[in-house]
Amino acid sequence: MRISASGKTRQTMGTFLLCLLLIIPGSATYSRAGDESKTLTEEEKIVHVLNRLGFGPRPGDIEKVAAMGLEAYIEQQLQPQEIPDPVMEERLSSFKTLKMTPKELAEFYPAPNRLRNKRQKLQAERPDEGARNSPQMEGESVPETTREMQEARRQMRASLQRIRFEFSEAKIMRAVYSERQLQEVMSDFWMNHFNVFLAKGLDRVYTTDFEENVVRPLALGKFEDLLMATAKSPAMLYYLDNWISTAPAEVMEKRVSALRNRLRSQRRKGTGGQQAERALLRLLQRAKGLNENYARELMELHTLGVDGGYSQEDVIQVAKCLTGWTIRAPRQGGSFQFRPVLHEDGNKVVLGHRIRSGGIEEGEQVLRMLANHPSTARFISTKLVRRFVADDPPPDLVDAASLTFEKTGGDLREVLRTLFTHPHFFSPKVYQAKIKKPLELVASALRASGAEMKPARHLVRMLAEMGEALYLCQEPTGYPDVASAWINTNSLLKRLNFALALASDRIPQIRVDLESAWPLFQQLRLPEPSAQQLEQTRSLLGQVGEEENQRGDLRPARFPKQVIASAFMLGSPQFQKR
Amino acid sequence: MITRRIFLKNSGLALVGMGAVPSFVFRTVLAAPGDDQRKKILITVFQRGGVDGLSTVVPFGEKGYYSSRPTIAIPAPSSKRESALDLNGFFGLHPALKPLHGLYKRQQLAIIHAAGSPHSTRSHFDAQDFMESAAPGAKNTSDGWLNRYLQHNPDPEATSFRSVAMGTTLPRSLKGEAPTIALGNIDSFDLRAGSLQQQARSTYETLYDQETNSLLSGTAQEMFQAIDLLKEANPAQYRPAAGVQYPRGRFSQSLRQVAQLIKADIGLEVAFLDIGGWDHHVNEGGITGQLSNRLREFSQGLAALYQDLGDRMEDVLILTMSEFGRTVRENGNAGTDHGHANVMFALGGSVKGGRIYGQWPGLASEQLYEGRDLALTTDFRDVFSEVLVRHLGCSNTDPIFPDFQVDANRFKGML
Repeated sequence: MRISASGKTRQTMGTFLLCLLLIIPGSATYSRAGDESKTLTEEEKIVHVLNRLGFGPRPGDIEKVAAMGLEAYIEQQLQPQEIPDPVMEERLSSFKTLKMTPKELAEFYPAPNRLRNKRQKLQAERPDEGARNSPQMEGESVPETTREMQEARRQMRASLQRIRFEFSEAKIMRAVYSERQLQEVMSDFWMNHFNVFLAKGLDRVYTTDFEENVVRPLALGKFEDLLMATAKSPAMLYYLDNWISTAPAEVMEKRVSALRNRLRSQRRKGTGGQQAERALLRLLQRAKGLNENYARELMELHTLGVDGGYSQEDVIQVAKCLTGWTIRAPRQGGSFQFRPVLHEDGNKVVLGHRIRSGGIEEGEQVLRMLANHPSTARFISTKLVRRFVADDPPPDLVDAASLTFEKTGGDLREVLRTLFTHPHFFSPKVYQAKIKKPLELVASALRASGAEMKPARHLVRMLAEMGEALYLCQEPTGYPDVASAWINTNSLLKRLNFALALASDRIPQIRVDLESAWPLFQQLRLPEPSAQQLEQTRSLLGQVGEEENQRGDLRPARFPKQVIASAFMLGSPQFQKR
Repeated sequence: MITRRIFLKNSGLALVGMGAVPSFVFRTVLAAPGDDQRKKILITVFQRGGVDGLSTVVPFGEKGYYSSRPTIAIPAPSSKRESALDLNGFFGLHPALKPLHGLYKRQQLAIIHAAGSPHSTRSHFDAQDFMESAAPGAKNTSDGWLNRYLQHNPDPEATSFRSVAMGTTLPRSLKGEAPTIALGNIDSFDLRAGSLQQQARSTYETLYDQETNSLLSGTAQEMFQAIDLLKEANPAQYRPAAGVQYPRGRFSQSLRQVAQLIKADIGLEVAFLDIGGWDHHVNEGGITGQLSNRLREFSQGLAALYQDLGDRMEDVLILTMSEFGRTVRENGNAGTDHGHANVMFALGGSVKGGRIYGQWPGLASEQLYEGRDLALTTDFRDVFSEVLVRHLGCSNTDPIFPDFQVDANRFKGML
């Protein structure tokens, strides 16, 4: 019995038993990675581009790209603003939190201590009423404020979930349906490069804004602009603690006492502006010194790379330059603000360059310098090649990308164009050589199977089980782009179960259209069971009773040949690769 | 009971895939609990984010500790208020570690202070990498220290559950050529294909067996073996011992599952767990607060496992670690920044506990590492190697610690 295309025969007892039970893939064609063939066919090139610049082909995509020409398609993807995407807008319209500003999110989903402050204020102003509104329930030993706090905490958790799920569902929706595929890939790339953690405190109200208004719009622009925008985004300022990094405690104490004196004299004179001054005083009292967190990750993870040539002293100097870069009224979802009063004055030296004392300009100068540093060109290029080409970035592609990065002042569109037009981008060695990360697997499976989806929480949970909880990577490194991070016994099992659930329409809110997907599966040369093998399975299925049906497991009644075959194709090792 | 079918299938797979000896798979499963052949087990716990060792095991005898930390210091032991739990008149445990205090007094908990990596990096990523690969400074080390232990100390009777990482991802410590299992939840570790179970299983197994990408094919093989073994051993039947309460939360629930795997005698030798949330740059807290909450889950979980396993702790060693300690001085935000040396715990029946190992470098300014951090007096590799040699009986340590001479004279003597 012939059991595999590779022609290997197995004669052990165990395998023989396996064969008896098996649907054996018929004319399976295997990955060409490692083949000696010189070049890819035109169709393979198209599949490659659809897999790398986007989240994989939908039924009909290969023909569409062939008709317009591969170069034209790449060029189009490099100009996302020119691609109309009306259907996407409509699909996203049901996500309420997606269009809300941080201010609105903070208003709708207040933090518990904000509620507490409100209550305390109310009680201070109208003690009687405050007391009257907080009757102790009979037998309830918990004081009212505690109970209220518990309720507020519960509400906050619920709101965090709501924001997280909506935002994650929207991300999957875009990966599946957006015509601007490259922009989505790049947006995801930068969201990991400039990782923030949605579950860290106020980042629940700032993360949506961060991707929607900072990262995605700049994803194909100048790196310097993107870096500057992330540095000034409340999401990043909060996540890496820069918003509370200030001049040293001694300096701040002096500033506080000077301000206090000024307030006193103003009060004697009865002049206005006191409220603002008091707010400032409160701020100063909380501000107590330098925090290195952002400065370190800025150089290690965002720009130079850990071996990019900086020292602990550079970390401290950069942190000093960035003191006073903070958030206006953070609990109300306010925006970036530079506060000179929190800034550490004086000249600094960063990477051997003198930075003249100059307020916000110091930090901006540092960011420009880092954005245009040769180490940064190399570091970003390496990461891009890893994402788009191979886990072990081929040096010639990294060289080419770095060169373009340096020549164009970090023009990301040009760097990508260099990559996508490089002959080695289409090397058979790299074809199907990347393992899809969970988001890529899920999005590509939905695309390939012509799925119609409504916002699907279940899918967000499945992604988390495969190891990619969207927007919840706690480490500032973001999620990695290499296979070894994503393939283990647990995640592989979840991938197979996802394929089985998807093909048999068991994922709530998602329906596949296998009839229209079938030709694509064949084009992709996924291993396909033979007719005889399918018949075998179906006759086995015929013996299954109603009980199985009731349990909501795979439903025999809904098992045409394509369902069974698709489940196996989407779970096949070939489909784990792109 | 083991059916003939599964037995044969596994034998076949083993032959096809790895050239391993057939019929190895279930030997350990068959061994009755209490058998003398019971293996030693190592559970490693990684506290990711850099736990503040100075608030964990508090040097209350150091004046410098209190002057460096005006708002977050843990008070010296006192009967009048919540304070450190005295260990030896100089060090005390954070009060949230109360469940571990009892184990210390019963000589089951050894503490190694001022331990860690000699490398100066203060990057979480690099420091974790260096510790998990046991090769500080050598970034091209491709596999983890525990995996190298497995590779170079092969066990002919090993099952696919010889090493297990609890969680959705495989940690650096266990990455490498030796097969290892990542396990999200033992209760749902199977294909979900309803009536198609058998067909799905067979088809996928063949597809992946033929796959040329060894990461995919190798992982699939380990996965299917694990599914079979779990079905046979059914660890879910083991409930926590009477009166044992594991806290809620991922870490403690993972510990509960490790206990189930141990009770099921499934061949577990090395287990890995991690617990995050230690990177307290802001509002770290003292007696109460963020750090305290994390320490509480950490200690309650470990104590629950200890109680749950009962006598079996004779064979089990729990080793805890974190990538670096934190600054001696608190920062402007009532938190601490990335530092250097830290504290490690070793718990178990065979541990010479009730002692604090290592040399204390002191907290005076001139005694600090780079003028800001606790200095290092014990290389974490001395601790790792002592555990491998004295607990797991490892005789081949050279390949596990590149560019490092394992020397029994530097062992702490805790085992």
